[in-house]
Amino acid sequence: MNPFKHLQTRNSISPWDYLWSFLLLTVIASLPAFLYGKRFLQLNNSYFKWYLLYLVLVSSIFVSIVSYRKYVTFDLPIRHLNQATKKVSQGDFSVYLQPIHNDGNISDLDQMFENFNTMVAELGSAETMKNDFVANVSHEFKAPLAVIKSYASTMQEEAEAGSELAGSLQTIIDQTDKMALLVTNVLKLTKIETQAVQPNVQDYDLSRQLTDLILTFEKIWEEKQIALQVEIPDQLRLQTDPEMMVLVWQNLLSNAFKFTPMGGSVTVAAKQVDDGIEVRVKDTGPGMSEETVKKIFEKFYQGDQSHATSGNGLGLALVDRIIHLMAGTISVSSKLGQGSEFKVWLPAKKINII
Amino acid sequence: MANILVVEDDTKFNQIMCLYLNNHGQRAQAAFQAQEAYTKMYNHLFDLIISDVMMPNIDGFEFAEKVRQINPTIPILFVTARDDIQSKRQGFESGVDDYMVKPIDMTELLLRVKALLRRANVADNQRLEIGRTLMDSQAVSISVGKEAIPVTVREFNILFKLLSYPNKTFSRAQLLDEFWDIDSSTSLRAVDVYITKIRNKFASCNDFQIMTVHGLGYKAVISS
Repeated sequence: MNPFKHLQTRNSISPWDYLWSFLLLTVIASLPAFLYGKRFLQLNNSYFKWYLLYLVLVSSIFVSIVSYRKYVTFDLPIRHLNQATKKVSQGDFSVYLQPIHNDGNISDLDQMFENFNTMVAELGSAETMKNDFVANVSHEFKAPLAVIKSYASTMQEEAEAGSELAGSLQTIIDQTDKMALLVTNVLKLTKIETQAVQPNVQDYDLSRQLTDLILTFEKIWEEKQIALQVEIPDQLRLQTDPEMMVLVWQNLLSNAFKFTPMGGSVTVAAKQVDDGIEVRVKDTGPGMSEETVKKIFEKFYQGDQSHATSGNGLGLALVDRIIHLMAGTISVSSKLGQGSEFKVWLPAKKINII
Repeated sequence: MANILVVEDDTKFNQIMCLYLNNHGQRAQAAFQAQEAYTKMYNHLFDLIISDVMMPNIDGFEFAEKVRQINPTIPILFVTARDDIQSKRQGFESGVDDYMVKPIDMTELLLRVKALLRRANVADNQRLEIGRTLMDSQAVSISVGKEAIPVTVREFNILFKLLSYPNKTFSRAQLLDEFWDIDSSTSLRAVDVYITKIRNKFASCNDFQIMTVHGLGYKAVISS
């Protein structure tokens, strides 16, 4: 995110600076001799050497005083400011910069610090407000959905299995789930795009995560008689943010099951590759044209413009952002009429996420 | 049967959770605020608490922390709309045992409640009857007709879980959760071994069948 993050800052005085000031001082010191000295060329050789040595000393004292002053009045405060901005850019708004002068002799740097503090405080409160807002929206939307879903599923237990009523209730349940995923997608996407979310990197078992998530689609594959092929090893250790990866798999799987027609097939395969883990989600849905493939990771893009198959065009945009955040890659191969395949690669080693 | 306290400010949602739990052999009571929950806890003994996070006055985190101070062992399950990472972390730090995000699946709620109760060693006395097969969770015994079939606790737990949710596939890892007392390094193959044993023991019983769902796990199918 920060293109300069690995460049070492350098602000000490270099040998060249010293050489220049030495030459400059020599010229200045010898100006009177040049202008008024009559026997300049007959200068005694031994005197000349002492004079030169004297100038070497004078210039080094000069340079060290100047560099010390520069260090105290400029470099040090700037370094503090630099560290503070770094913290803020990483989402820490508790930073406060101590002004350098407290005696009323306010310099430009002091004013800059003061302004910086005000800015950070403002940013911090805006950030808290935004976070609260996101949490509130999520609460306000999901609370009624939770009520609808739980009443429907309780009623469904009473309803005769296979009856029309049971089917209608299932539709209500499915739609609430869709709505809930939509709310989650919108909020997560805004969060990822507007601020540097700190992924909570953990070591966890991807096999378990994938299997558990696939199982949540059991009703759909039974209903649509989809042949499900699962090739997942017993264990795959991975170091990323498990919560965010849930959203990735949820979106990919729900797309695969959504677009696969009755009697089609869905394949989910995961395996260890040389430098990471590869997960493939393949369906036998309608597939996409090349143009569509180019655009699917854009926000609000839907391959099917008629909106016949419900979706919100946010899922894949979110998937793309999350995978980039995890330093992984995602690729799609698709042919019209033959289905699509999404391939996700994730690094096996823990990566330092900024 | 376990005593469960449901703390949730949304009346409708609270009611349905209580209703569902009561319909499924638990004894649930509702509290609409943390304060009310404290009062109820003074008068009753509860085996488990289900709590919301965003509540007026005292929120779920604070409530959980308070409860933990008084009772360090009671299982607490958060049911909340907040799915952001911070609140999850905060939840577990305040001593919560499990976490579900709204809208929740009622079957899953019951599954988790049962798992938590088992972990807390709360006797969950339940009987399951499938055709001629009768399972008694307190006695850990299974009988088909008049014949008792000897099973180990683990075999019983796996079969009980499968038969409680017929036609629902459980992954091997989910079934392995029934062995919570042994360390997590146990291979998933152990589950296959137990399933084979169960199948052998119930080979002559035609009330149900345990099907392999390739690559995923197992499910019980009740013969019609």
